[in-house]
Amino acid sequence: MQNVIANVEACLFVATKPVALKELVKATGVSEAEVSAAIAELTQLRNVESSGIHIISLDGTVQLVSSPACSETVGRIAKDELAPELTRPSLEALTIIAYRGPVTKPEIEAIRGVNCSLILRNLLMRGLIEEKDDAKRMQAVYTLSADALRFLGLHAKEELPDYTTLHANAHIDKLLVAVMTSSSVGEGMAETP
Amino acid sequence: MQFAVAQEAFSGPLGLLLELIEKQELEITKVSLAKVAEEYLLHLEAHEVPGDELADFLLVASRLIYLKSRELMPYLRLDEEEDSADKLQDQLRLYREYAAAARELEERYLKTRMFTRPFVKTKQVQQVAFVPATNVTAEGMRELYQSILKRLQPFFALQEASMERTKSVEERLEELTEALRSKAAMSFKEVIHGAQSKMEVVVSFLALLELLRRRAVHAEQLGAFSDIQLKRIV
Repeated sequence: MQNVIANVEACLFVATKPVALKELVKATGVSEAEVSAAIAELTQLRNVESSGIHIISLDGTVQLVSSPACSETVGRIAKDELAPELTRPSLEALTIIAYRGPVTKPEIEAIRGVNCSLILRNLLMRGLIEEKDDAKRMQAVYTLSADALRFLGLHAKEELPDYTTLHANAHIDKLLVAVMTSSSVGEGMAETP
Repeated sequence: MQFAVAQEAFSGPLGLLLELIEKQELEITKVSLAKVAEEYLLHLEAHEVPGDELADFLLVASRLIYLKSRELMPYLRLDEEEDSADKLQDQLRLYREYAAAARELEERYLKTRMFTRPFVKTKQVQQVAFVPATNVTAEGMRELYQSILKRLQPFFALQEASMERTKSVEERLEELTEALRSKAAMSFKEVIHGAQSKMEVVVSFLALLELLRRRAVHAEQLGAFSDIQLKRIV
């Protein structure tokens, strides 16, 4: 087991970007369950105050990052990576995607009450969100990116404040269904050509 | 850390609405929505709304005006609109939850950010060449393209249908006007005689409504589903 943990950590160190669980399975040659267990143990080992290197996990990927507690210090030597500025509307869209993702554009628009095409394009371009095709829903769904997670200083989506309440809450689901069922504000807007 | 969240006057129609209600320390109810209707409109007048959001702002405005009018004339009530008033309330409550969460994320954004090592390229001479992925086949591309076209189909179908309708209402209008010019009176049954589809009947009826609106024709119907007699108004 120690061997798998070390191997996973070494892979993550070299990769410098989020690595999918599947890739680690392929690289280490052990089962997915073993890799998952190794990641869990590594996360426990690293995500503590005394470690300068932490692990973030998002949608089946893992990445090595600097500790959030070292943010200020590291910021002084790592000045090259520019974090995008956020306007209030784009912050709201990002929040909805963070909590509800994978979420479709009509759902985001139903919550914000306004057309979000431009904002979504902007967030995509800045690498704060990712777009995937949802075959079942026949449309694109949006999720938070690992970069956005890092900028927020979170190890996983579950660390978002009140995540359980805002992610899948019966009250909110009911409101969203009520808002989505008939024509709502922000819906039926023409797509910008 | 730099100030990363730019301030804006308001964030969409619901943002504005929530701000107005919270400023007056009101709960989200139909009564308080009606109360802030005027302020909402004043705000729209005084501030430039981005073009792509204008329709959404106006939609909320129309709902507020309806709520306000209902307060003034409580005997005028339609079930359908009751529903839309409920929905505006629900939507605003839902929005409030996420707007509050957004404020919390704003507090966190870039405050304790984590860094990664930059991606360092090894010292290789970069060659620019077209290297197709090994899984790209002509057949695969054809299938992909077809699936894209298939997904666009409902959209095109929708556009075609609406174009057809606008075109034929206008055409029908001209035909009807022409027919009434030569014949001072006729019945609706005559008008739709020979119609090929239900759509054509609907289009004829829409054309008739337009003629009525223009006061070009006088229509009389004795009972539900009975024939409509049309008379030209000179």
